[in-house]
Parts: sequence; C-alpha cells; structure tokens
Amino acid sequence: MQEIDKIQAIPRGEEPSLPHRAQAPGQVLAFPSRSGARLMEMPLFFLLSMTQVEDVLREAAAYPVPFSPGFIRGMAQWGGEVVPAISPEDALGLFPSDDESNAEDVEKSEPGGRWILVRSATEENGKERLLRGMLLAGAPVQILSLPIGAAPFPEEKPLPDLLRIRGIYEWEGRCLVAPCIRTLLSGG
Amino acid sequence: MDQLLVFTAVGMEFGLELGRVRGIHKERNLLAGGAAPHGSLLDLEGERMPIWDLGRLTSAGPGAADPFSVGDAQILVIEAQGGKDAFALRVEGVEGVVSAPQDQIRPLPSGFGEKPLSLFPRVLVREKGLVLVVDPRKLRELGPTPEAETSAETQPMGEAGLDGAIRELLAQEPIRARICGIMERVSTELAEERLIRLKRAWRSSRSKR
Repeated sequence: MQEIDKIQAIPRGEEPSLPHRAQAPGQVLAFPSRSGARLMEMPLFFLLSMTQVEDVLREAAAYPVPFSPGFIRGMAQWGGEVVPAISPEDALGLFPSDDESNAEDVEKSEPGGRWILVRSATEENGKERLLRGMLLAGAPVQILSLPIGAAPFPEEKPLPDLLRIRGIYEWEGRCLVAPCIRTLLSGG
Repeated sequence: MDQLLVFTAVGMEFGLELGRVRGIHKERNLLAGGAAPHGSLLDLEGERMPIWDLGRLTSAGPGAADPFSVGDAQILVIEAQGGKDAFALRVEGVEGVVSAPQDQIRPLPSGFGEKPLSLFPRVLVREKGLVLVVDPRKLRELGPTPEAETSAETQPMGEAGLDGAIRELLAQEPIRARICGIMERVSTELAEERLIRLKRAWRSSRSKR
C-alpha cells in the first residue's frame, strides 16, 4: 500500500481516446469519506481506478453555481479549465441536500483534505468527449495494488442511490464504494 | 477581448457582457429621484421595467425584488436582447469592468445541468477566482412573466407595501397636483366657511346690541 500526496499528472490536452488507460491497470486509488461517514458501522472509503485519476491536489477552491445538483459543491479550476467539484458522499445520497441552490460560500481546502481530479469519457453525436471533475476527498489517499482481497458487500441495498455506484465491497473492516465517475461527471 | 461588468450578488461574483448594460444606478438615488417601484416594476424615466433580485432568483423566492426596502443596493439596467426587453437587476455591488481575452473565458461543463448551463454558459477564469458569466436573455426569462407583472401592478398591496404605495402615489406628478388642488380647495372652503361664521357671529352680536 502506498500513500500519496501527489501523483504523476497525466498531461493535459489529451485526445478523448484516453491513451493512458493502460498506464496503471493493476492499481486502484482509495480514500476515506471527507465527513467520516460509516456504512453498517464500517468506515466508508471510495475506490477509483488509477486510469480515472489525473491529479491529486492539496489545495483548491470550489465556487458555488446556483441551481446545480446538490452533490455538486461548485466549480473549481484546474489548469485553466473549469470543472465541477463533487462531494461523493452527497452523490450517493448519504447526506441528501435539500438546498438545490448549492452552497453559498466558496468551499476551500480543509486541513488534510484532498481534491482528486478524475476523468471519464462520454459519447455525444457519435464523438467521444472527455469529462473532468474534482472529487472532494478525505485523507490519506492511498494507492492499492490489485488484487486486494475485497468481498462483495453483505447488505443487499446498502445505499440510497445505487445508480451512481459501480460496485460496493467490504475490505479489512472498511466499506469500499466505487462510484460511477461517468454518471457523476455528467450530472446524473 | 470580451468586456465584462463584474458585480456581486448573494455574496458571489457574476459577470455580464458590458454591451448589455444600459445603466448602473444607486437604488437610493433612483427612489429619491422619483423612480418609484410599482409592484415588481421600476419606473425609470417613464419606462417601466421589471425589477428583481438575483439572490431571490437563485433561492426559493419568487424572483421579484422587494421594491420597498431601500438599502445600499445598486440597480443594473440590462437589455436582454439587442437594445430591447430591458429589465432591472438589484445587486449588492459593482466591482468594475474586466477586459478578458477569449482564453480566460471558458464554458461551464455540462455536468452542472440544464439550468446552470443556460443561465451561466461561460465562466471567467481569473487568478483570484472564477466568475459565472450571466446570459441576460435567460435571466430575463427566469423573472416574472409579463402577465404576472401586470397583475402585480393591479393587485392590492399588502400592509408591508403601504408606505411604498403612498410614496409611489406622491411620486406621480399628476396625482400630487390633484392632491394639492384638493387641499387648496378644502382650505379655501374652510376659510370661507370660517369667514361666513365670523360674519354671522358679528351680525348676531350687533343685532343683540
């Protein structure tokens, strides 16, 4: 297991064909819920494929965008590009927000927190389009080498919103949730 | 190079294409000058236009600005589309005009959803932060419909609006003139009546003598 502060950023301006998909096929990135959420008494962790991750930042700021979905905490900047800043807990319905107008203040980095730049691709009019976004993460962010010996989560319907989840596992007393990045970045 | 007017509302910064801004007024000055709000309409030099509040539009409120609270707000008069369809927007403050090269203005990503994309299709990227650039046409559509504006004009005002209603009546010159006329007539009649009573009293005192 490897803890990271900053991973190697994949160069920007890539074609949407994601040539780095094969860069780290045997590794995943895991990070705890920023709010310390638990599921079935187990601490909640999020799991990403390394091929989905472009950057891990210590500092960033999210500026609120009125009328955006509750799980989008605002817009953030990455290399001159504007990307949505997403709270994965909110996206999974763990902390449903009634406030559709979004947070009113600029959300800044919390001590120990991280911002993970993720990417995915979607098809639009027959063309592949690259999507990017920041996930608000707790620390530490860890790189795990597969296989990690995780088992399917015992509960049948553990989370309110399963549409945004690709998989849910139990691993060493933790609950690992793999969010569906494409759905999150598409605002779905 | 795009020229944007940057203003603050609900504690956030927004940008607006400078060409769409017809004027910037201090709300206090507007009201003092007789541009009294009329329901959800602002009467500005004879032109009536809807006035509303970005803070209310972006929250659960109905969108129309409370026309009777006079503060330090500023009023932007905006043209929704080329020279017409003007409306007024109450904002907290105006920061100034920013000249931004094209590469500093980025599209808002599609993940934010339909409404934010339509209202704020572009983002000004600055060193000190990100600024949502408002589409005035879409913002205009968010506000009250012309029918609602008309009904707001004709509906009786609540107690909270009474002061404003009086202020508004007094601001309208013909009504003020009419009121002054009535007052003059009343005072003349009162004076004449008093004179007649005095004359009667004098005559009666003379006849008693």
